[in-house]
Amino acid sequence: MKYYDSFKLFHGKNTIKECGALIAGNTALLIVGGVLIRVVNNEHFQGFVTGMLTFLGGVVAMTLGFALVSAVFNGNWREQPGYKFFHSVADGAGHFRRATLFSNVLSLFPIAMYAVVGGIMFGHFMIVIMTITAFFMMGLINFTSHIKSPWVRIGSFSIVGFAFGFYAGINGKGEEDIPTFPLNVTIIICAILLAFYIVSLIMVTVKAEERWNREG
Amino acid sequence: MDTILSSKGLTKKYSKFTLGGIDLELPKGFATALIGANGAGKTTLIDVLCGVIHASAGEVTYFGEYKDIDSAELRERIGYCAAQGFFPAGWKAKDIAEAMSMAYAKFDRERFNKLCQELEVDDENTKRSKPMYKQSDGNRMRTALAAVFARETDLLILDEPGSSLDPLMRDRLCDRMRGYLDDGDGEKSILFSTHNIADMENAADYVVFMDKGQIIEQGFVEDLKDKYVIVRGDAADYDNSKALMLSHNVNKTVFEGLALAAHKSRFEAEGAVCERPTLQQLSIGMLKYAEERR
Amino acid sequence: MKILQNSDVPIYKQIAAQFKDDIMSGAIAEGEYLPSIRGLAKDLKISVITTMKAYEQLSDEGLISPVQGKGYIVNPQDREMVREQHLRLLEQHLQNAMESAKLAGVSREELIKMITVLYEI
Repeated sequence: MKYYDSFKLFHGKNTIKECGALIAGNTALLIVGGVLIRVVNNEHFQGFVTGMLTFLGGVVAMTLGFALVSAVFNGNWREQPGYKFFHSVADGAGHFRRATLFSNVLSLFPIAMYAVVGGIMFGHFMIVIMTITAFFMMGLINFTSHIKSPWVRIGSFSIVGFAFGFYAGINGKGEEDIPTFPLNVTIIICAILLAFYIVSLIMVTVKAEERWNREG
Repeated sequence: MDTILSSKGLTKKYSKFTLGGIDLELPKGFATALIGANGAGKTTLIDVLCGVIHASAGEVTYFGEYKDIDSAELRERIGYCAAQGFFPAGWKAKDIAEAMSMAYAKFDRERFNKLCQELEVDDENTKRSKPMYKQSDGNRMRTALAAVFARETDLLILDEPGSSLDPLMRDRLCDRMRGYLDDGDGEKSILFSTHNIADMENAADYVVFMDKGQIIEQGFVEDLKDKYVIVRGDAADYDNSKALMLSHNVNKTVFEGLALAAHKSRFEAEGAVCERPTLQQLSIGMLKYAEERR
Repeated sequence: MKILQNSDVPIYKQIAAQFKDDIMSGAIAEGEYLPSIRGLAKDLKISVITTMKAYEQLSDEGLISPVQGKGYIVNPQDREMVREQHLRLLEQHLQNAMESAKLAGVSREELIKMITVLYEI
């Protein structure tokens, strides 16, 4: 409750509802895609839809996580309206830390839903892709959160987004003769990215108070 | 004098500007005007007093007991409002209401809505209300003032509340400030900053003049009006008077300036006239005095 | 209470003078409390310090006294002594009037006529 309260402090009233709408929209999209693949028996089309939806999942993850964490960090930019309100509230640093963590968890949630539904529709690799995307994207968002220039942050995600699209295209229902990554490599990659994400979470939590009081 | 807030050696250092050391004594039960030119340090001082930024040195005592601005209990008692950009740009009145309820235990949502209506800005139930960035400066300030006045507080600290308001609205703000003091019956106090005191003269009981990060004069308005005079005379007589004047304004016809009332008889002997200053005249004289001394 | 914002006379003096008249004439009785300084400031749209200074002046003159937690109470006024004071002032003013009359060449009868006319106003 306390974490949700801190989240609400930075995000205003309706953000949770908007997240819910996003989840619902995504799920609908996945179901439509899954149905289309079963109905249309064209391999290229199927590969295309699969790749598209995977890419989309990555984009949604990036956008949501970016938006949720950014709104919290905006409260700590001196030049942004709102700075003085947040810094005149009691326990501002505490709210900042809790809201960042809550935003992180909330961002993972739609991706998890996506992975589950996608897994059912498209097979296990969707779960894998989404998991990798989630951890890497959110880790990246956390590590770059303190950078004020949105271009630097968005730039780094775009590169990653394309990379994942590529990886998904390779591993999905596509050309047979393009080499795919073996399962154990995929697991190692997942583990590394999970660690990456956890480190990023620890970092934002530990540094929250210091950043809040920096007056920068 | 009962003080609501006192500071000793309060300092904030920036690379190009230093505030302080500020030794301030704010009287309890009154409205204090913090007057100074742009860049004098009013906003920095207010931000430090409200914990928006942290002091480099010095100490402040609030309500005679609190020394730590990070105390949640203390922040609950202080009603702070920034000069501009107080709330995030994308927020609407309902987001403000929600956040204020989260942040402060004694925020009265109904009163906020009622104040918004009285101040003619969107309240949280207004259909198709606009976000802050689409509102005018005046409307943003009215909304922010509605939010701070809707809280139950013991000390209001308002940074340039009148600067983006039209004269009628400024007059209504003064009424609200006097109403706040009346409600408190001597227990509530106000500190507000302005670079233009003319419209808010009748709401200021105590005044603190600042220049280049320092306090140059402070006191009760009536006492300062007794302490200083405005001297006026013909340009021909200027040389006889100018040594005793604090601020100087002379052209080919007349001269005018601020001086100590103690010298009144000397000025009159030289053919000049002396007048009790309005707060506006006192401010102009003080700030000019500071400028001339730099 | 009629205050002139732009007069030469400081506002606090105007307020003190008007309350003094009311107290002297009995319009405000002894034992009554004057309005609170903040309530009066709010109604007159002036600073609290102005009303406070007016009350301090009245208190210095012995007309009112501060009561802890309740405001300012009107003191019993010594009617005889006040009348004495006013009579003395009246004599002074009349002296001044006669001097001016002499300078202007106004006779005693003309002076009495003038006083009668003025009294009717």
